[in-house]
Amino acid sequence: MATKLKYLDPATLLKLGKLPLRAKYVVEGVISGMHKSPSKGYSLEFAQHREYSQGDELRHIDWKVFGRTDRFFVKQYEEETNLRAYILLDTSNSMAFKSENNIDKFTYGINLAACLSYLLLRQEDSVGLTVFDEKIGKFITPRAQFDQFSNIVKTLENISPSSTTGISKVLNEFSSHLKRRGLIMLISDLFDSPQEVIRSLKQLRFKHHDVVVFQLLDPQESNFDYSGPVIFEGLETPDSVQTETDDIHTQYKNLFDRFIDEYKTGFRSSGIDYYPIMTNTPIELALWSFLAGRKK
Amino acid sequence: MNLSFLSTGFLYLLPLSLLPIVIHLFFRRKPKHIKFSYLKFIKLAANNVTPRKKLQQWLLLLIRCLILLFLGLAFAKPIGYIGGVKQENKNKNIFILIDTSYSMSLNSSGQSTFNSSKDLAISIIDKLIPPKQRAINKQIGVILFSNYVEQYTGLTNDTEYLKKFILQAQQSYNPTDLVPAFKYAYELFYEQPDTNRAIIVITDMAKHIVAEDNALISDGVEKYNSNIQVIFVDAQNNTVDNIAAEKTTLLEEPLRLNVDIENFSGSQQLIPVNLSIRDKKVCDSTVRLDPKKVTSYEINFTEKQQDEIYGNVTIQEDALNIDDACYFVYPIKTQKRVLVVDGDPKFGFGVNSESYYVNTSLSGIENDRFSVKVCNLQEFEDENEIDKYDSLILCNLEEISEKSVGLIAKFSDASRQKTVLLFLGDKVNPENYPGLLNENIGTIQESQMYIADYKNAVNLFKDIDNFELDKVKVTKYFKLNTSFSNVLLQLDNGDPLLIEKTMNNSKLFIFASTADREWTNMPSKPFFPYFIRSIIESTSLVADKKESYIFNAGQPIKFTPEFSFTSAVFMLPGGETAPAKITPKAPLREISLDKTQKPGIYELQLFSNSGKVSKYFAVNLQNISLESSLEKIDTGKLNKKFPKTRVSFLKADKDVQQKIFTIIEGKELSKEFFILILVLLLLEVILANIRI
Repeated sequence: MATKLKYLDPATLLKLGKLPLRAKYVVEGVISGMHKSPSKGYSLEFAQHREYSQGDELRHIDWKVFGRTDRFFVKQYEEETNLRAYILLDTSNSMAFKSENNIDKFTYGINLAACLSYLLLRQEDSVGLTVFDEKIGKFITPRAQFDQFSNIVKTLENISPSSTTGISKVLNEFSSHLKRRGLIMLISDLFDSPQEVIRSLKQLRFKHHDVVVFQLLDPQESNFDYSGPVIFEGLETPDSVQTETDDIHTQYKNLFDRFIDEYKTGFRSSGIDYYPIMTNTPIELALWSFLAGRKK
Repeated sequence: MNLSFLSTGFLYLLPLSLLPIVIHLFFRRKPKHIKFSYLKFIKLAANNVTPRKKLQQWLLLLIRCLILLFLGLAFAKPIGYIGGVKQENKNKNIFILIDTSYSMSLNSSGQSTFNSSKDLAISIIDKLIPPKQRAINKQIGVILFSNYVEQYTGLTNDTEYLKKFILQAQQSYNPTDLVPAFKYAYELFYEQPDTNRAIIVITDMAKHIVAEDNALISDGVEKYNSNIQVIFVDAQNNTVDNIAAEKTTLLEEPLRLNVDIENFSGSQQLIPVNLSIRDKKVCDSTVRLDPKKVTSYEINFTEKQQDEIYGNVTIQEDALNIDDACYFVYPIKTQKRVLVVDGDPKFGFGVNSESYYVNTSLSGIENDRFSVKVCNLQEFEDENEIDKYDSLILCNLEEISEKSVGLIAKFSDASRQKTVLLFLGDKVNPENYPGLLNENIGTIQESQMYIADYKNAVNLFKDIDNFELDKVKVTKYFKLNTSFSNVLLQLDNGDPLLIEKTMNNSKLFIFASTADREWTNMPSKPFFPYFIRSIIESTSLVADKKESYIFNAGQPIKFTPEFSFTSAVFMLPGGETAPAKITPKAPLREISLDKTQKPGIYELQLFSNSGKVSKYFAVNLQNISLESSLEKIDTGKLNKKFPKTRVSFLKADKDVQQKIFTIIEGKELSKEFFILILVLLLLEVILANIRI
């Protein structure tokens, strides 16, 4: 509970100024909260030492080894270069859904994407951004320079929800663009066929990509706390359905829980990190749980 | 099946059974419009649940409508007639039984229940056979009943005749008993086997209309037929409290009248009570009555006239005023007849004889309170009318013969209390006295004595303190032993002068001395007349009750005078006269009035050559403690008295004629409807709780 109180709820966070500032505020807050130096990085994996050669960055010299051997060695990581991270943000209309007192999933997704970008760039990892609905909209190639953050933020600030969801199709298309192994972070409500989404993500895993899925959900989508007669109108489709919500409440909950369980089981069996996040969850907490998961 | 209804007013509420549909249609909540991210699960859930839920809701709606519909119908008391036309064409015979008992005279709303019943009966006839309609297949008869069938008509469709008969019907003064009326109706119906038959009873539905036991009507009615429908109509819808004066009893010493007053109400009452004797009010007081109890109230009065008292006790009038008076006639004896048996009566009542002093003591008293006859032992033994004497004084008898003993025993064994006073004297030989008398008589004592102790005598001689007893001297007396006796007067030496003991129903006083002045100076003292009178007046005031003078209304009065007469007539309480029926009966003639009616004092005037003599008789209501209770009968218990019979109970409201009509035409289905409602309620509860 103390942890929750420490963070700002998403709605309050939105009032804190522009997206870059918010991202910095969140990330710095999370990192200082973890009491670890961000410069050491979490995504970089140490492989071996090699002898220093000209042009190597001084900060990679292992001074401890120098102290013992009087020779310069630099740390060699599994990846010769920085981590290549791909942030995939779902911008379909279903992401525009918001319930009372909560922010919409789309806004949450934008903020989460900005925070992740800032976090990775701060670690000098390359970050790219792909926004999609039923097809890929924008694609920013991963780069490690810090001005990349401005590019990403600019893109995020200029998109709005549109069209329907086509996650598996997009992932298949996206997969063909990838040349090197990387960290793929999917931010979506995953309102698509679970089997197809899992199959597509499995293929990415098969290509040795590290896959992280942030499923953004509104509390009402999960709890279905409606009462009385309601005409539900689809955000992605023009159809509607009228029902007595009290009558279908249990049935809906069962179907929804089964839907989430299907993702949970599918991702677990495929080695995909899965973070279901409610839009009333502080973004810091979402980041924190992600980072904590990655540390393992 | 045709349906008709007894309480048609409820049918107007039937549209309310559509209330659930109205609520469902017009009070539906307006749906909210909500944009939702993903409709797949909502559609799936709705497709899965909604059809079943809708079916459930429509079924619930239908059941709720049916519950309200059947509730309205049930309260409207439906009458179903199975078989329709065929049975409707069957002949119908109906008897209307009208209760004429005196409780029907209750007047709580300006009209007596009996008169309301008559009006009701006429309106029922009009409903069953509407005026100017030819009722070929319907006949009606009327029976007026109390505790027996008073009057009746046969079955007819001449409604004018029936109405005339009803209008002429009179209220009776009898209690109620349903059984004779039903017996009569069933017997008449027995002659009409192939008809639809019904008996309509118009009564006050009081508890007393039938015996409060487990006996069935069928037990006492041979021709009982369970197919005959019975309809009770309560003609008295109000609940009324009642108080009744039930019974009087004459008590004496002092003379007083006890009256039993029953308070049938559930609250304590304080009411005025009046006693009138010979049409003169002699007492006016109030009495407090506990709820639901009989209160015995005693009224003291004085009476100087001879022979009998008659009158009434009345209480405050209430709605049922017929039972607010209780009438009485009691023969009394204010003149005491004294028979003095003297062992040595002096010719012309010579001075010094006991009979002289006794006679002197009892003569010259106002209103001839005493009548004295003096005789010797021989004359006493020949006395035929020993019963008529109140006191027997035996003075100085040498012996009491066996025949005399029998006479004294007969005298003392009367139904009322008498006295025997035994004066001893010089001729007395105790050995010649029977056991009861000689067991107390000892030897003669000669010694000058004075009365020293009289404390036991103050009840008998209430004014004894006004006399100078210290001047009463006794010089000669028999020493009395006190076995089985009470010493009233005692001498200086403790010897008794007067003892009292019981002899059969009477009292025996033994005076140790005699009226002879040689034995005592008491006869010459003022105390002596008082002494004699007090002993004689201690006898009963009430005359022998050989005949009852109190009759129940409806019963005949019978009387046999002990004197000759030429003609006789009864004066009834209302002032009318009724001829007396005289039955020659040797040697006396019996006079009777065949039937008494109204409660009150009935005067029998007997005419002879010497003038007119009146005898009085009181007539009271019968079974007051039952009939005057207006508590309603438990209809459930009454129903059980008619085994296997369809019995209906109706209130005399404005629709009662219609209700009777429909009951006769068909079968009441309220019970079945209520069972159906229960089943529907059960279904509703089950269906509403099924989770879909």
